Amino acid sequence: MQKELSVKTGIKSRTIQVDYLARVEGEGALYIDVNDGTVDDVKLKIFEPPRFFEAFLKGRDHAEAPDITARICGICPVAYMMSAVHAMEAALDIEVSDTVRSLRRLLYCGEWIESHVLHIYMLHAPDFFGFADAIRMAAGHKAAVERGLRMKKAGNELVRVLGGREIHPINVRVGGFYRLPEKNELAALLDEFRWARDAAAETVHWTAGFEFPELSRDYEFVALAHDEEYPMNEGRLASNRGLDIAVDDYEAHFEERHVEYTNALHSVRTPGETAYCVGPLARFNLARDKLSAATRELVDDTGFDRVIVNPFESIVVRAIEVFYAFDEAIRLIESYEAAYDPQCTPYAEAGRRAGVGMAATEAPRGLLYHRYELDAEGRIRVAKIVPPTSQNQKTIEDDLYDLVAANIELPQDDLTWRCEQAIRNYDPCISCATHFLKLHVRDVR
Amino acid sequence: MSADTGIVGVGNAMRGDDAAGLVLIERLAGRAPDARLYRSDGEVSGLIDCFGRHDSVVIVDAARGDLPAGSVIRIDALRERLDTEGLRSSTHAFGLGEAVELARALGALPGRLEVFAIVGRCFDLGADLTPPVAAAVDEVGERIADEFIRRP
Repeated sequence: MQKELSVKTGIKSRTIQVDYLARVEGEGALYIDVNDGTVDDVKLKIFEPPRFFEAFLKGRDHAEAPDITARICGICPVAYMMSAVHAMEAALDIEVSDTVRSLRRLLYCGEWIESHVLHIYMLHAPDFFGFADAIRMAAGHKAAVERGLRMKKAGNELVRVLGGREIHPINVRVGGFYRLPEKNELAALLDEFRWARDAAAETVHWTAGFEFPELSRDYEFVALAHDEEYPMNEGRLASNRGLDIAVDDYEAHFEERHVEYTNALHSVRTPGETAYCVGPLARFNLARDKLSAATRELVDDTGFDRVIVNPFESIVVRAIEVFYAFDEAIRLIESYEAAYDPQCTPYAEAGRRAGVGMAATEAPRGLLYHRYELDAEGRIRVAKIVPPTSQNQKTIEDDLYDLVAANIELPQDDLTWRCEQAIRNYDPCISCATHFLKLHVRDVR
Repeated sequence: MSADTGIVGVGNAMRGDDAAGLVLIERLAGRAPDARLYRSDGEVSGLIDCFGRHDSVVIVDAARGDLPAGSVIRIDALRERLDTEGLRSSTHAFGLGEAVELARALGALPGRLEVFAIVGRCFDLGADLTPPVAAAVDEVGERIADEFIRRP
């Protein structure tokens, strides 16, 4: 991590500048100006180069979308695949079998586990102990780090078995899967998953005991809402301020804006252009009554059965979602094995025709929206992808305004550290957030 | 020696020179009957798991650096610490350097750990290996075959 810190004049006027944010996915920087005790400006700059995936998709066959979009991110490829296949199936009016539906949810459990465990143990927990990174934390917290590594490996294994490999799965297609697991293939994971569910409960207790900096804000939380399930693949879009819409209406209620200082677009609620929050806090606050009985009991035990508005507590919510993902995965695997049918068709056939399809699914970091327009041959005419980090970017900046204003008396190093920790509350995936910028090049010759 | 050797290619197949380690593993396939070959994106738990499976582990990864493209840096990772920034050519939040140093902190390194870092020039999405990196992959493959693999 490289830092350049400069103090303008006295403690009431200063600049907080972190040129390279550590322990976030991708490359970003933070600039905050304070003048006479008032926060003047907060800029979360994302300077990772834009990756043009939306343009790259134009003209490609609809069936290629899941594999191409999976390459946007090495941390959450399943999320991109899931939003892509659901959107394509909406465009082509394809209905998938109950088996495919369950296995997609199972695959998503694997990704939540991989992503959340990496973030909890390797990227975020060191903040709460005052360590610069997990390597330094490992010396004094060896058992915890080893527990995290073993849990992550369990998640990797699920994605490998169901997705074909641990990273960038290859078994997902529009209409279902190329191949379904054979009998006992998934059952072989169960012993380790039962251990991992217990380890996840320990993780919840471990993180619930951390000391959380004070910050609470009046967020608009936005997440998928499903009648029966904790949200992953399906549902309407809901918020704690009365939003209740079909995913097809997403673009009538949310808008992306170009902001001069960053390579990522900011997504805001319309018409007020206000910030909103997606991700674990939003899901938990809107749908914690849909968690499994064992998860709700754990939530109760740790005193977290409440609306959580301190973003620093998001590490506990991620741990709760890890426990839920292991619990849900065990249920889904047991159901699959009990009803195993070797004749089950792995996918529904997709015809080729013109159409428009939208879908949103719950990536580990929050809502991931895709829209595709297809021509008569099933080729992609238009692609639009809105990742969770661009939706949270304005909220992160708003958190930083309040955090700095409330902690203006802290020494510069401590305040800078606190700001970086606040950004990591959202586990921002900067490489996801920069794939879609439209560049306007002005010729000045 | 060979029976307990794991050879790991680390990289991203779609980001130009970052694929160097993965291409090397493709070229060794079928030539290393007594070694186990791995393809990795640098994922930390998978790498540390691999360290626990073999007495001797060889890792090949692309790197960013001031040296000319195709330069090869060999590191005895039991004796030297790895640069956690230079070995993060793609956007893995937790890369090879961190994985090795975390394993060191946990006492989980294998008995021998050699890292071959090939300096890359182009890490653009969809790009091929640049010629100097492709040549370096051939050279490193031969060195590994001579030194770590019992030929069939």
